[in-house]
Amino acid sequence: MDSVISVSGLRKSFGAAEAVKDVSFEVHKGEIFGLLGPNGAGKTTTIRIILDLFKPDAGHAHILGGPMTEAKKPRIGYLPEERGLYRDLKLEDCLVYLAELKGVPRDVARKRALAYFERFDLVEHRRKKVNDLSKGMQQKAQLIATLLHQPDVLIIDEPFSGLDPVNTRLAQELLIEERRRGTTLIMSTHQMHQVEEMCDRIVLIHQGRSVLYGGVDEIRRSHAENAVRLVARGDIPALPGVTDGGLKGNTRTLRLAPGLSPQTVLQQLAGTPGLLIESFELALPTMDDIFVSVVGGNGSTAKAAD
Amino acid sequence: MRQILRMALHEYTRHVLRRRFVIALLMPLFMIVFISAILTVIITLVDQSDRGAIAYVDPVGALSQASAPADALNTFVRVGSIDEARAMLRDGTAIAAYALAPDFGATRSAELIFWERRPSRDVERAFERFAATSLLADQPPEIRQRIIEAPSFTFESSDGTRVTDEIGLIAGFVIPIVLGILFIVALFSGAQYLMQAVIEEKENRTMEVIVTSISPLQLMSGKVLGLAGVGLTQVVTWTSALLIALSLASQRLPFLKAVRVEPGFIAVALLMFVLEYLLFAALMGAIGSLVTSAKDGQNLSGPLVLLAMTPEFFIPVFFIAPNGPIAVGLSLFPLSAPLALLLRYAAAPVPIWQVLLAMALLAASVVGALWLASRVFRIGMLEYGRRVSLKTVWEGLRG
Repeated sequence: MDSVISVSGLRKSFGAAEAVKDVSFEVHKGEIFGLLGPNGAGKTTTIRIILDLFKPDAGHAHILGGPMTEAKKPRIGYLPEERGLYRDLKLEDCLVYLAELKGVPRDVARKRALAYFERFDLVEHRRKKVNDLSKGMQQKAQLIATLLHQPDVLIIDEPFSGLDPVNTRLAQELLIEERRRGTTLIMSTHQMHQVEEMCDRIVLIHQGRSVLYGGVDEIRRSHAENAVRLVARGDIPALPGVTDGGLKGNTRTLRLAPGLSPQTVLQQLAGTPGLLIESFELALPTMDDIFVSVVGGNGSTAKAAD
Repeated sequence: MRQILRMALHEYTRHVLRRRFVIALLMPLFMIVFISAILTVIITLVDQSDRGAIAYVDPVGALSQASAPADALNTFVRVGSIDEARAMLRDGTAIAAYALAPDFGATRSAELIFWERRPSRDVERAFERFAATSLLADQPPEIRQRIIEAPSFTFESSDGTRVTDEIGLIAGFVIPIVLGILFIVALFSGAQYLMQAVIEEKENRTMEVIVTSISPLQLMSGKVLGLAGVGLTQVVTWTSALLIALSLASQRLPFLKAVRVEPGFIAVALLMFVLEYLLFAALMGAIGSLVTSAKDGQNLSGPLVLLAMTPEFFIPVFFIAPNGPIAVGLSLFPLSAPLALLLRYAAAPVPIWQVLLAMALLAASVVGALWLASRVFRIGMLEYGRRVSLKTVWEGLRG
């Protein structure tokens, strides 16, 4: 698999504070990669090292086949966590200018910006100063600024912060479209449901170290206990090796004894007279559960997949 | 290069379209027009009040052979008594009166009488010339004329490039000194703006986005070039306004005609100014990269401002020894060169090789300062939110 970003043994200190102690991961071409971690974990520092804003004390961060160079800059889009737009400029002028710095001709940039404005419902605000826009509008504008030059790699830090559900959905669709176009995305976020919905793989950084790394599905499976979730009408019989894990809404969790397969339990339940099974699934933990268990517990001992 | 120019244009338009810039640009124009108008009115009024009849009481006919010089602006009226002279002063038919002592021929003693306002020295001088024509009546006309007319001196520089009269000598200081003040105002305000902009953009992370698009050197060059354009706009506007005002005012105020305006000098001065502006802006940009607040920036930029202003502190030296070691040294030192050259030029011709050398040194400093600013900016990027120590800068530059 082609590696678009390769980070290995990264270390960076600011004075006495060690922001990044040991971070390693690879981002493959065309995937959406989640860069996760609690506040202060070292995610933004890692991003800044990848972009060559910071020099690492040790290790390396390669992008598009090597260290960051000037020639690669037009191929990369970056959305910082804090807004990076000229506040005293009109929205359209600001975005077109930033695209021009990435090498996009002005008329092309203007045309593309207009298309995004229409999509994000910003047409009537395009002549307003950035400063006069709401936080959500500024976030949409920042996202557009990141996409206008059609980069090969998108590095986005908290892309959905400040967006309402409708605009979050819109931004999500836009990023998925970008992936379809062949763009590689590295996304730092705290919103774990977004990670589940969008990311192919993730790295979880905790206290400056990568503590969990791999495909989202693999990680969820590897953190799953032997349990199933069931939605059914009728009485659930007591089965050998099965204990009741409780009811949440209309979903009941059944914990299975070691060695007892979900398949066996399903067959037994299916043969129970008067029981109508509406849904039966493996009880995979959510990314949110995994995040909390890894970061809340002893992160350094968490299992790293892949 | 395209990116540098794009950024320069962006910085230029962003700045010149601000209301505060337009006000700062127009304010000196209003001042020039206002001061010129006031001066013209005052001088015209003073001139008119000096014109008119001068009465004199001459009991022994000491000035019987006196005649008004051909270029005299006053008429001279002999009256019979002091009372008669006073009456003329009272009703405004005379602006001044002289009562000659009976022994005027021996003592040259006379009493000046005036009503409400003492006449100017020009009026006194006019009467003295009138009296002299009588005392010199027995001299041949050409001798008489040469004595009555003030001696006229022509000053010529030793290299023969500059020839001027007395008024021209004083008026020669006007343009260089006024231009020097305009340059300094534009320089400090513009460079200060650049420093402020770098601090702000660093703090609000705009820099982070920009630096992932272009290199720190491109960023600094673009900003510095754009700001130099802003400074040039200011100075060209102000200089043009000054020259137009001078040309209009000199129609009413003849002595202003002696003010020298040499296009070559103006061009060299503007070029030096642009180079100085680039140098200063690059250095201020570097300072902006290191600090986290405008106040910190001002503390660090203070010594630079002082160095640029140094020639002001040595003004007497420039007029006493315009080609002496201090004047020459300051005109070759890049930060003080433009102002020092202006002051030297006001006092004496400056050897062309020194002008060229000063320009070359200044241009080389601009290149060095841009390189330094981009390196310092890169070091400053690593220390977000913290003031960078000079030790860190030094280590970063060596690394």
